[in-house]
Parts: sequence; structure tokens; C-alpha cells
Amino acid sequence: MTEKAIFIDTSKCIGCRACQVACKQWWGLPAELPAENVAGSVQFQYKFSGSYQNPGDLSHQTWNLVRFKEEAGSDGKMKWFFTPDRCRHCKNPPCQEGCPVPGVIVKDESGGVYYNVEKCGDCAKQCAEYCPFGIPKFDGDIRRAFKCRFCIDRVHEGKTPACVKTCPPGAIQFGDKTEMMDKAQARLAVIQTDNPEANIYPGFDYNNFWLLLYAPEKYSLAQADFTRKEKARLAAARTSRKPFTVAGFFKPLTYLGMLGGLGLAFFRRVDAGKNPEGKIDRHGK
Amino acid sequence: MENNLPREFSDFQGGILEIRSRLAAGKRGLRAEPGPDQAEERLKQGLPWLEAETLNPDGDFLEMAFQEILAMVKKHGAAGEEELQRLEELRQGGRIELAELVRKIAAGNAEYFKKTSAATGLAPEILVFFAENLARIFLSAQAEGLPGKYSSAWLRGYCPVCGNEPRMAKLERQQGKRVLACSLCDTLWVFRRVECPYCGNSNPRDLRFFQVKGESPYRVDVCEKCKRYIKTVDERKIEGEAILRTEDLATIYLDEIARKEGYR
Ligand SMILES: [Zn+2]
Ligand SMILES: [Zn+2]
Repeated sequence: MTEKAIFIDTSKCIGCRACQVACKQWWGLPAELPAENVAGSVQFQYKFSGSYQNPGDLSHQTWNLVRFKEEAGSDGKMKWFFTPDRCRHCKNPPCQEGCPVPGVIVKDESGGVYYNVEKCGDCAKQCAEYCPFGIPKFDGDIRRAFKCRFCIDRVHEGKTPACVKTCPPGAIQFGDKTEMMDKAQARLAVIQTDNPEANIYPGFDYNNFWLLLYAPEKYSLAQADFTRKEKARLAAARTSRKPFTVAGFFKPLTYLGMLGGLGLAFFRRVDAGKNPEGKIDRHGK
Repeated sequence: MENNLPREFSDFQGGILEIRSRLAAGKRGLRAEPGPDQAEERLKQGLPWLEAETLNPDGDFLEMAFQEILAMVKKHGAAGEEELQRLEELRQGGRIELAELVRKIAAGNAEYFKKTSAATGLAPEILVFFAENLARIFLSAQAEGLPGKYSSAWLRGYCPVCGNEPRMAKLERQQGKRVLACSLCDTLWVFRRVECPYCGNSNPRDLRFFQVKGESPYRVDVCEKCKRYIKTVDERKIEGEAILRTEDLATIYLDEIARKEGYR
């Protein structure tokens, strides 16, 4: 099979959410509570009843979510930004790197990345932490991770993913990756004349990419952050209990120099040229 | 005991890690001598690949990186406004130059930081902090191209890329090999299990380790000869890969204990 790609042309998206519904129907996923009822939802930002974005975030039951964001433009008028958010289907999936069980996370020849739910099991949820976009979501009850599957079975039958098939304005497209890249490039060239900020997101190293009219953050699309796993580790080590044992730790200066300053007393380096034998002056400097 | 990172500290350091990782991935404006083609030959001679004094980071790239780090410091109030203002003045006046900070920290030149601090009245921590983080962005991008990285060919107590000391160690999952991580550029390399990387002492009588909890994946190896210590995480006792620069930050309580015990 030739490598495939999903190309989302945001300039054609009308925010109808048909893709979100089609995804749920095809995979038999239940509807979820409105955003305001989702605990810890960070996306809910509308006071009036019922957010346009529903549910609040991707979840183990929502693998494709149309994000809505409203913002005042330079002319003072409110402006809407919307586009479906889902797995980017990375070339070298970091989630795969984080998974301790071989064979759970598969990068398919079609370009899609899917999780073998049967093999996926009780683990430290590292797929979610390793994903630079925070896409995989965990089902706490059965302790398994879920995300967009590239409709891998449909694709292998020569069909298009459910969201592609259903998209009324044809904003979500599917085909050979090279063809999709050409389409995206050509469309970008046209769009750019009126929209100087237009861009391809997150890039062509992915098998799902977008043409955006504005910067990704306008659409609440995450910027790739490859340190999410490290941040999770640091978060796990912290506490709300105040006093840290180091006296003066909270003084801004020591706080910043906590690690840098430690090194000052004894940092040492081997000087090139001074050690032709490679023997290091152990007590030097 | 383990869970004692103040929230501000972990948020701040997480932000700094993100900046480092993103900017290093861009690999922009990074120049160093000698070229990668000479790395192997130098390593054979026991020399680190890069010569610190030749590091020549692109000015615009450095400035951009500095501004990002500075914004993070300000956001978390990790340094006093006055100190930062003073730093800005010194930079404007040409008394502190970013590229010079990078070269001096890479060269392990503690003297430079002490002198500059004394001459400018700026706390050494501030200088070292910016110098280290700028140098890291620059060096960790270089380190990727190193031949034989993570192999058993190096076996020295200093970094094969930049020549600096290790800051933390791990026992890797597959074979329990002892792997050291550079304090500056994050490069990993294999080292002997029973030897002090700081002084080369390999007498088992002088080498011990202590642990805080019996089941902890962490231990602190100490050398009675030079009184140095190095924190170690046993990867076989945790899930997934240990990222040592993060483990180092997450376990500063062990540094405290080690220093209370008289090691440095
Ligand atoms: Zn190094
Ligand atoms: Zn020693």
C-alpha cells in the first residue's frame, strides 16, 4: 500500500461537527457530557449554556473533536476559529517509544498509527506523556489508551476514514500522501494572498496535517512539546507541602541557582591539548 | 521524602526544559570545532569531541534563546527584578557577552564566573544559570551526531562531547550497564560500575552507596577518597526510560542529604 495522509483544509471547514459524529458512530463510541460537566475541562470558556465545543477535550471516547474558539479580531468584532483535532499520526511516533509493551502501538504501512487495544494494558500511561500533543487518552476503568485509529480497517479495504467520507464541505481529504502534500501546498499558495499567516500544521512529517489560516494556537491546537513526559515526571515529584529542606531555597536567587550554582564549586572540564594521553588531571581546576 | 519539589520550581524547570528541547531541535546557528569527522580520532586520544573555546554560536540565535529563557525566569519570578535589570545593563554595556558565557561554561571555567561576578556585582548563580542553559541548547544538538554514543568505547569520567563532568547516572534496563549523563550537554556514556568518575578511584573499599528507602529506584554512590557523590537511578526498578536531566531535578532532596553527609 502506498503511504496515505489525511489533509484538513481549515479554510473549507464549517464547524458542523459531522466528522465528530461519524467517528463516534463508526467506532460505537458513546456521546459525552457537555463541556461544563467534564471535570477539569480546560477548554470550556463560554458562560452561556452549552459550549460550542462539546465535550471539553479529546477523551478515551472522543477521538476526533471539533475545537471552537472565539476571539475578538483587530476590528473589535468577535471571530470564530474551528477545526477538528485528533492524532497527527507521526512519522516516528514518540508514544510508541514510551510504550513498554511491544506490538501495542503500530505505525502502519498506510502511515496511520493505531493502538492494539487487546495488548494494551495496565501501565504507567506513558504513551500519553510521550505524545508531544497530548492526544492519547486513558480509560481509567479498563486502563487502556485510546485515540484516532486512522480508520485502519476501512483504509485497508480501500475506503476513506469515516470522518473524511462524511465531511459535507470536503474539508477533510484523504489519499496518497504525496498527492495530499501537493494539494496542501497548492491550496496554501492560493490562500496566502489573503491570509499571510496561513500555514501547514504541524508539517509534512505527519500523516495528518492541516492547512490553517492563522497560527495553531488560534484554533487551540497544541504546539509540539517533546518535554511533556519530563514535565509529568517533575509534577509527580512535587507537593503542596511547603517547606523544602534547603534553607533559603525560596529566595529567588538560590531558587534559580539551585542546580547551576551547585556546579560552581566544583565544575571541571578536561582541557583539549593538555591531556594528550587522555589522562585527566583529577585534581586540576 | 521523595515528593518534595515546590510547585513553582517544577513548573519553572519544566518550562526551561521545553525551551531547551525545542530550540535544540531547531539546530539553528550552531557552529563548533572540530567537525564531526574528527570526533572519532579525538575520542581515541581521550579528548572530548568539542573544544570549548571554539564554540561560536550564532548571535541572533543566542539572543533569541536568551530572551525566551529570560521570559520564563520572569514569569516564575525565579530571579529578582533588580538582578535581571543589572544583567541587562551589563549586556548593553558589552561587559557580559552571551557567546562568552557559553564558551566559559563549556570550558568549565569557574574562575571566569567568580571574577565576572566580583567585577559586576551580579550573583554567580544568575550568570551560571543563563550560561548553562544557553550552552545546553547549543551542545545537546551537537551531541546527537556523535559516533559510538552510548557504546562501551569511551569509559572515562568526563563527557565525550564537551568534556564536562557527569551529573547523574543510571543503571540501564537491558543489561544493568552504568550510564553517566553529562552535567552540561545531556550526553550519555557507559562507565565502569565500580569506579568513581570524579577521581578514578576503583578501590571497592572506598566506594559505597546509600539509599533513602529500601525499595527506591534511587541510590547515591559516594567515594570516600574524593568525597564526591553521584545520584543513580536504577532503570530496572521504574517504568520506561529514565531521562536523567529530569531525574536530577526531581531528586534534589538526595543532593541535600548527600551534602549533609559531607559529600559534595
Ligand atoms: Zn557534555
Ligand atoms: Zn572519587
